[in-house]
Amino acid sequence: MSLASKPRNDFKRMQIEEFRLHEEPFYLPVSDEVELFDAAYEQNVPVLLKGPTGCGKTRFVEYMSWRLHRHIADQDDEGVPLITVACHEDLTASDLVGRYLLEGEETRWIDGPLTRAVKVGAICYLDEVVEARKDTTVLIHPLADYRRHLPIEKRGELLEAADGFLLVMSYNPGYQSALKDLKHSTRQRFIAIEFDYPPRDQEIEIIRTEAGCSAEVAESLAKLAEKVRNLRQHGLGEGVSTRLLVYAGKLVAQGISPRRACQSAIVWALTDDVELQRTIGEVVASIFDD
Amino acid sequence: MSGASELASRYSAELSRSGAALPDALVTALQAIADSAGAKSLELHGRAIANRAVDLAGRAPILGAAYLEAIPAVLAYISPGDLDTWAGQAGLIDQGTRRSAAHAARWLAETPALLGLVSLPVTTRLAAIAGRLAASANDAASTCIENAVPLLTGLGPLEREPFVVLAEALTRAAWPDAVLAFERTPDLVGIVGSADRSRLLELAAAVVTRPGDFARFSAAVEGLASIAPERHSELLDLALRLAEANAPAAVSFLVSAPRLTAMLSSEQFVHWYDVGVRLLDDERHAESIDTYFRLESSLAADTLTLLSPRVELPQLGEMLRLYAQALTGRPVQVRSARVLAERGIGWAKGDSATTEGTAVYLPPFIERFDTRDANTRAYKVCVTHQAGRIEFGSFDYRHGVDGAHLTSTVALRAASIGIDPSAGGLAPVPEMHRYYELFEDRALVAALFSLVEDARIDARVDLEYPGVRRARRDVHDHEVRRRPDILGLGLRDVFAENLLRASLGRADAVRWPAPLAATMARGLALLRIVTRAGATVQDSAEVTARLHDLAAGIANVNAKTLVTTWVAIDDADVDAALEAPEPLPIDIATVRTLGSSTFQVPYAAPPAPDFRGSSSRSSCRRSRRSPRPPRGRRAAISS
Repeated sequence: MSLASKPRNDFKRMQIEEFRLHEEPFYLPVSDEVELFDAAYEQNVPVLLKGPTGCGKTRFVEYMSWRLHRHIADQDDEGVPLITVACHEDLTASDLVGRYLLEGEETRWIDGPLTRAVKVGAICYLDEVVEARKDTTVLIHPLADYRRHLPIEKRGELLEAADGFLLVMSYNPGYQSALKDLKHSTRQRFIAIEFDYPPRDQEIEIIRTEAGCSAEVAESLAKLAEKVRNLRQHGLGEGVSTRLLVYAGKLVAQGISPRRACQSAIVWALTDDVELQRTIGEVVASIFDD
Repeated sequence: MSGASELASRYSAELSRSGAALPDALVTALQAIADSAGAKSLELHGRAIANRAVDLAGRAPILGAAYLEAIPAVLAYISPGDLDTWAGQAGLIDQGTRRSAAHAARWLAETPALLGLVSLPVTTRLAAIAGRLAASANDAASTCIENAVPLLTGLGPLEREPFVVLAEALTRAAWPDAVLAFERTPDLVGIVGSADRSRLLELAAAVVTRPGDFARFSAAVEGLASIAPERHSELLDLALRLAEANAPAAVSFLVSAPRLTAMLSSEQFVHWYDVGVRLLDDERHAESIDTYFRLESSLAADTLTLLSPRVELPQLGEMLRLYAQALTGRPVQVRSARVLAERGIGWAKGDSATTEGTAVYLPPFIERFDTRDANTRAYKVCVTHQAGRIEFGSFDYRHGVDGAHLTSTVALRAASIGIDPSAGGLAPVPEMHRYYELFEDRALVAALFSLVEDARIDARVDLEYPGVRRARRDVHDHEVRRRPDILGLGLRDVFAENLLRASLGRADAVRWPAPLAATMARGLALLRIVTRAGATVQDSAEVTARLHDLAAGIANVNAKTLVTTWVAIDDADVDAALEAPEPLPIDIATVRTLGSSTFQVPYAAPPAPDFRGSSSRSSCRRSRRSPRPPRGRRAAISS
């Protein structure tokens, strides 16, 4: 499809707590993770998603948000919003809770994403939570146990989470240093669902569906992924993610040759080490004929 | 009284003070002059000779004696008028000590033989060398004087003076090196052909400027022994040209020559040399010239890489290790096959790839193709195949387990030869050994298993790694061109050789006697089973067993004695062969109908292609199991 013929979407503006998924995101369950999440949601048990980058954690949360929305929408048209916060090393408790802003001669309180989620009963997804500053744990702990309280110190308030609120966090144990690991006091407030790269047959299906490439290309990409993942701990910190495979598949679907697509989406994206690049390039060349 | 005696009598008293025998010696010497040059010559030179005798005897009696005693022999090479010049050589050596006088006397005694080899001026230069050595160390002078005659005798006439030039240069640069030269030069010049020896010595003289240079030069020249003699002349020419501008670089060039000549053609070699020589034009590169010719500069390595198609394992080793790791998912090591060869492991050759399941052994270099890319791809073919053995289960054989396409017959085979499949041996036996135990001819079954399993691995590699297919085909084509002439083999050997050619994807290279085509067609059809999707090592074992039955029934008569037409096997015949009745054994009676002799040659396994090496030899070494019970000829078994 040429760029000119591609249908355009006009942008939409909304408050973050208004974000809901109305169309089903593609997600292929690998195990019983959907049932586990459903059960946790029903019981207000916070969820920790563990797994390597690009293996489908975020997509899973989106899928569960849509699924729960569809389920609840029968009784409540509002459904379950999804508020996602990409955590980083400068993210503080104030960024999550909210802060006073100067407006003319006055100050005005602005709720942070976590406060908004607590108020509207959304799923709050803290992506890569160990990246955030340690003071965020002050907020997470009372929200993640039976209390479901969010203390807002600056306003002297304590918010009780609305029904439907669920705290979900993700982290990648593979590249966390000891300094950034989750504390046990935090860890043990969540049930954990472990993710890994999907088995070959499922990964083929994911690539084919997401990238719109042929089954043959999807199969070769999944095979390539297995081979490249064999280099984990032998030069590569992380294996190739399903997300990168999908990107490669998308390039192929657009007419780029598989070798070139893999070079761009996988070889160069994965590593800057020349020897490893050459090795992965050779694996690509073995799997994909000219 | 003769003129000689009369003249001698005038010096008798003076000479007697130095030694009682000296007067008589003078008479003998003067008489020799008279005899060789006539009375007039005696008159002309007699006094000078006598005075020189008195002078030398005054310095040391042994000097006077040596001088007079040597004169009769010396006169065979020089005229009486040159005697004084010759005698002056003693003065070059004698330092006024007893030891140096003894050296000088020895020198005078040796000179008749030396003068038979070189001219008087050259002997004078040699004496000067001996004198300089005597000034440094008596032992050094001894070595020089003792070795001079045998050394120069061993050198050709054109090599002697260049040696003296070398010795002079060494004496100036470092006298211990001169001693080395007197000891080692004959061996050194023997490395090159007689036409190149004088230039080798000229080169040596040009490059020795510092202590240790001669030892380094000697080591470099020893390296020439590994280079084809016809290239020595060109090498020495190039080194001499280089030595004029940069002596250390010339030696470095010789040191690098064996590696360079192994990697480069003559034309490429000169090109590489010229790139280095161009550095001489720029004074800024003065120091880097030696580094270039030592092959230690990046320019030298890059130029070599650019020119040579040869690819060496260390250049790719780490990449290939990671590649094998990626393919197999196991921590596979990559090592040079030479390691195995040096360990003396019988089934491993230094230039063939192989694996024992934990490491992949590769040739130390590959230069079979014209370009580096092609040779790099050949390395990749080797690794992919060897990694394929690990990845696709060559080492996972389980005795008696069915394959994906064939049912195991090992239990039937064991029963037919009286082996209890459940019985243990004296020690745990690898599964593969239990399999080999079932066959009379281990060499035959091992060779067949190797090629069958390789065919399975290649088929699987084609399926899983289509990107390697083209390079593998190139390697196969190269291997097929190197296969032996089948007419030089036994008929059973031809059967195995044909299977191997077919396993390389070249069924068109199969040749077999037309009247016996059914046997070959069946063999090829069996081989095809392991190329089917999903075939396992169990299938390979079963196909091998059936091929063994076929091969064992073929009389191994010399192929060239058969009076027959040799044909390729039709593809349709191969397709139909498994459904056709089992062909009869090709026994002696059968081959006799084709005019063959009845003499059978011992079975020789077809040589394994380099990229495959052997997958079975390590497993077919004698097991520790108790010996098999004796048995007669086995019946063919198939299910």
